[in-house]
Amino acid sequence: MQQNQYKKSKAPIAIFTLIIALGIAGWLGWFLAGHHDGHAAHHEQHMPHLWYVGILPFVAILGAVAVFPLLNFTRHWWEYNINRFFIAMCCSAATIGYMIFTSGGESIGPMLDHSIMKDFIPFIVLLFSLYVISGGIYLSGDLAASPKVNTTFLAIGAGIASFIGTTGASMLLIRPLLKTNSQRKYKVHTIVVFIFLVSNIGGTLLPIGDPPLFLGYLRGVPFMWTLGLWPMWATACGILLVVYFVWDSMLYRKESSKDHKLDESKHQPLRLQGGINFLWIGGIVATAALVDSAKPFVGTDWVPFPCCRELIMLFFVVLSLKTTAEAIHKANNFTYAAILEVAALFSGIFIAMQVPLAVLEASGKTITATMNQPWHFFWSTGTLSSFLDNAPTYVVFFKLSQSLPEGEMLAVNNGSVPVLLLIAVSLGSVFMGAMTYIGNGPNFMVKAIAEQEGVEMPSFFGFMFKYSIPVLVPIFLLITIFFLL
Amino acid sequence: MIKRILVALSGTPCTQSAIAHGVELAKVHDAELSGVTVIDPDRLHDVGPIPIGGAAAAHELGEHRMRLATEHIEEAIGQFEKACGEAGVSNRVLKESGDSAQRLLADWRYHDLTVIGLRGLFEYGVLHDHGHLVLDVIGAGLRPLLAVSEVHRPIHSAMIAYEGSALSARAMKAFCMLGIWKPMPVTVACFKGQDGDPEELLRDAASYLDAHTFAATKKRVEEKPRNAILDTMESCDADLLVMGAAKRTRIGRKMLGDTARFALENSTQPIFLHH
Repeated sequence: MQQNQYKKSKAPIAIFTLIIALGIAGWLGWFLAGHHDGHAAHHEQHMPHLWYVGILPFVAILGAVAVFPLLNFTRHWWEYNINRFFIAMCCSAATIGYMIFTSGGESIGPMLDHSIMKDFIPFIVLLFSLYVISGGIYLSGDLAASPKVNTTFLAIGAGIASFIGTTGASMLLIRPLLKTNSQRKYKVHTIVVFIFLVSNIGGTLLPIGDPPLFLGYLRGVPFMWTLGLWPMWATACGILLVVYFVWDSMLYRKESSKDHKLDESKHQPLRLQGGINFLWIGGIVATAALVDSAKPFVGTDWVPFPCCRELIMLFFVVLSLKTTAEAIHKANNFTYAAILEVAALFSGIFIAMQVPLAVLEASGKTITATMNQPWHFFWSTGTLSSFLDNAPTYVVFFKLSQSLPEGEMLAVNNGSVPVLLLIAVSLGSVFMGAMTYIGNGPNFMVKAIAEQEGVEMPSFFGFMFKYSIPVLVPIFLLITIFFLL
Repeated sequence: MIKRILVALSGTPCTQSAIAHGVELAKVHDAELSGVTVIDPDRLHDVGPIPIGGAAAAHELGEHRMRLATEHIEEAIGQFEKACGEAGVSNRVLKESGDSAQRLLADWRYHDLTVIGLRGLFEYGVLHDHGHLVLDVIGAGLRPLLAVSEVHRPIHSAMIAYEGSALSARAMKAFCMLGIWKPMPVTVACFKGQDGDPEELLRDAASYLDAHTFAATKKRVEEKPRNAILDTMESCDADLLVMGAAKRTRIGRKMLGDTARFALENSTQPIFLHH
């Protein structure tokens, strides 16, 4: 009865949202079908008229993401993806309305083409593919929770996060790590360092490791370019692993001998199920690296058709679903809710961020007059990535860095980007996502799973002040000194 | 006259002890015992800021907490009913839903004494607010109150922390006048930093206690109460600490007396508060 009433109350929102979404899709389809005057997108070199109004939808959608889950009277409403999609579509409609008003209707087609076809669809299809395929791998077991074993777990996680994504690596390893440590009294530090390493820093080496890096790839950063970040990755991971090993060894000694004996008596060897999905992940990596409709396929003259890459990725998803036992998804508590949430919100974020990007393009030179050093970009990108989603943050600072054509440049779509600044932006967005529970999606997922397993995780500020600031900030200062000055 | 006692069934390590104290007092006074449970969906679903992609995990965590809390509530009710049944105490269970502090204060209005655990209220093994809610309800005016620790120990002696203030006098008077416990040996302790002459304060307080047939012993402590109150209690081998605590102003609720806060957070013995 109550559910029926709720369904009825959701109906107007669903209809309204659908109308906007269909309107956007229709406009995009009309543009892609060639029903436009053939002019290229209007390239904004000057500050958009009434820009402070134009950026409001972007501020609104990020504000909704930050605030709605915290307020008692919005929390329940915000739990539904249809309501998130409603907000996303309202912000998109407001952006489109603003652009029609300030730049005319002809600016909308190119804007939608850019934000939906070139950003949103490749982005969400990659995330969806990695999410589904990695959700088909299940690792179980209970080892003796010695500092060596725990450090090895973390090192493996940091190693594979770049290849299966930080979310995939986190979901794969967190349960066996928790099981392994279930007899330990002191385990919060292990989960926290897991968040630092596996859910964030580990994903630095490939564009599929962390969403912002994939957005860089979509903007023309070569697929293998991020592998060049290995010295920073190795430095951060190396220091963290050493710090963790010493820390865990100290706490291990504090545990009672009774706990040690109990831990040693409850062994269960590691068992991997759904290993075939590593093959499909390999397919995703190869597809992301080799298939690009903007250039010929390696060694041939054939240029993949638009969305070819995404279709191949979806094919691997189908293969994964066909070859994965349902029991594995069940063991992983796999549902589509998280990826639908990402899709619902990013459909609006990519459209709403077009005006802020135009503002940055027009005012980039003014901003970079004072903010022009790699360490400026590292800490600015990082600070924002700690509290906002790191994907749009990366895009904003990527765009800003293009206003500063100094030093070694890397050719990307529609221009070039200074290499040192790109390094700073990439590191800032990936590394500093570890600073808070909201810096990156898997951080919170790991916290939630740990709490469900009975671990008393620190509060939002406890995480920052007891762990991330004392441990990570000194490491980031070293990264700044060694690589960015 | 104590005719109705409210026991908070909080699902913390102190709950069993709270039930035992409640049952003991109900038997002595032939009082009715009410066990109250509060499930607070907002508090249980409040998992803090959530990143994009984390909402499903947050929802699952909230639901997990609700399930666990419900299980712990049933367990606490079972313990309560069993203890009351075995002791032959008249009892009832109040299953509340909503804001924990508000619901407890609403039920407190119709009871003569409230018994709670010292370091957590309605946490049910899933919330860990480290006693903040206990301090909030005390600050909001819940009194008289018996806050008990994990270990149940029958109350045969008490220590009154007396500083001559209206608050500490009120606690001492309530302890004597309400007649919750039969006359017992009482140590009245005066710590460093009191207004007025400590000897005079101790003499007057002891005389008042004697008038109520409590055998009073005077103790002067040359240390600040926050540092020495629990050690003094231990040295007196007292089973109960009697003290005044909170202020009733809006700011005062947040600024519960430093000593009372310390005692509530660290005591291993029951504390009787009236303010």
